[in-house]
Amino acid sequence: MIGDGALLEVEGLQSGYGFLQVLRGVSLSVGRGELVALLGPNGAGKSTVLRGIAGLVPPWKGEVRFAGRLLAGLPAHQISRLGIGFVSETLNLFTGMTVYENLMLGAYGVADGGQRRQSLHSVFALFPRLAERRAQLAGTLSGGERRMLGIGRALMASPALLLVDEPSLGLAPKLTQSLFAALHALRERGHTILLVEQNVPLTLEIADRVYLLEQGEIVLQGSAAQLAETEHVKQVYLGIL
Amino acid sequence: MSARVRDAVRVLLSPGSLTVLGALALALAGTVLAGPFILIDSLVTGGMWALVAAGLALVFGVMNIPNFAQGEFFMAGTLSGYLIFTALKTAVKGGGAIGWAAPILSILAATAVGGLIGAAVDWGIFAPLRRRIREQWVMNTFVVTVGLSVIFINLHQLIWGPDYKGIFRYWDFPPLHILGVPIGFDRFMSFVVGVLAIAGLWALLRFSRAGMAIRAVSQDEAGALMVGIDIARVHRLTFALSSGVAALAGASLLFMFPSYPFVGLKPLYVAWTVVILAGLGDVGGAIVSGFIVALFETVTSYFIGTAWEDVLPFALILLVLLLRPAGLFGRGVRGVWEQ
Repeated sequence: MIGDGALLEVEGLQSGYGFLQVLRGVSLSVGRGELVALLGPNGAGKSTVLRGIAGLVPPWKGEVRFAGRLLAGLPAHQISRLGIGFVSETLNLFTGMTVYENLMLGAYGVADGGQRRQSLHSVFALFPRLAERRAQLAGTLSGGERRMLGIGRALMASPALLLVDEPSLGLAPKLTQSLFAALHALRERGHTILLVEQNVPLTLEIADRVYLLEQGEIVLQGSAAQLAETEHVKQVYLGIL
Repeated sequence: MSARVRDAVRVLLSPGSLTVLGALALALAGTVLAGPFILIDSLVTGGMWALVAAGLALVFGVMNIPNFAQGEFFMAGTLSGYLIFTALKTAVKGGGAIGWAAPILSILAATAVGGLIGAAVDWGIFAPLRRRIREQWVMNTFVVTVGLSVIFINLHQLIWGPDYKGIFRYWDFPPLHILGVPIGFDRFMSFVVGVLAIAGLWALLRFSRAGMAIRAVSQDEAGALMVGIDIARVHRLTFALSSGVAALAGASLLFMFPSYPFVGLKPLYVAWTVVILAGLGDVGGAIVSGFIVALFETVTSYFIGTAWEDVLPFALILLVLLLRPAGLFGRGVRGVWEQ
């Protein structure tokens, strides 16, 4: 799956904020239909990788290639239109608008009304809770509902690749479980997902392949099963001694 | 049940609704004591102040620009309205259809001219500025808009001269009698145009795709980028819309405010009063406050004297800033960059 057929290829990506370099040459790839996870400790640069792919942080060096196209230097809204949906850590919802309006804005680049309705239908099927709350302002939703709305909004454009940043952040274990179930369901339906997470055990359960990012560099990669057997992962991330 | 009653009472006693109720009481008292023209005058100018102020609120909410050149877009509206109207009247003589067409065409064309100037200003000044430097943005753009205002005022003076360019019989029809009260047709039509424009602006922001994008950018810029909204285009549209409605107000009030270089100063001050009263960046609040401030002006000038017309609204600003700095409808100062 790695190589020419990959949907997303990141090659030697370096980036940061101001004088602070966060990524020191990150390379990874995501094949069509895969759920790839990017794991690592706080401050390793996981979110920066996603923000770099989505175009919200300008790359300093390196290449990002999506479906054979170079993304470097493209503005974020064009990257989104090319078919990359980004669910950020803070979600960036339109809090003063209703759930329905947020979802419709998710399909901002979709001109076909029928396709918009169909996407809305499948988002409501995935998260029935959003259908109940459709007329409510996004700012009044609970934390779990906000995550659902964030993911739903990104799905509205039927993106070829979904970038999801820490969906479990600040959620109760039970909610986390159901969100992971939803991500798993999306993968089963053929969605391609690049997931950033801190919850290692749960992530290893649903991911196909895993990259481990430490201090801005990929230190380990492999299938989820392989990584779960690595001494380093066992000791540092799974707490097995 | 009792909880619902308590909620209703709390909403009723909030500063916003108290002000609205107070204003309604004032309008009623003024109408009873002085006559219905108090109400009519407030509605006529109120609609226009609401539009100018809504533009101001929109540009602040979406682009974080405190626009002190908004009055000059009003001025551009009066000027292009005047030029187009007189050109039409000299080209086509007689009443009838042209009596309707001339003012309508003048107002529409003036709106377009204002919008185009606004788009050009964003293209030539704010968009490049935004790409270069974002530090001290509010302060920088404030200074830029003050400079723009000076330039526009002097351009007007240079090209068209300092004298009043007013129009007599804009809407050339006899006065209407509503409930036995004579109302000049000019006033009546300004009110109609104001209401239509406010409704149009509201519908555009509420339902259209572009309006949704404008609101999205004002609420979360990164979120707007993430769903594929071209922020530079939204900014251009917002600025054009804001200057377009200011020009519309200018062209509609041509019979009250003849065009001259400094005609924009009064609407600018009023619009800032309105916007501070409503809370910066609150478009809906600006529309309500526009009517309230107009009512204050009318009542003051009738009962106390025209010279006091501007004093009381400014006293009101001081009071609001002291007691409720976030504005009467109090959602706080919300700009894109504070979020």
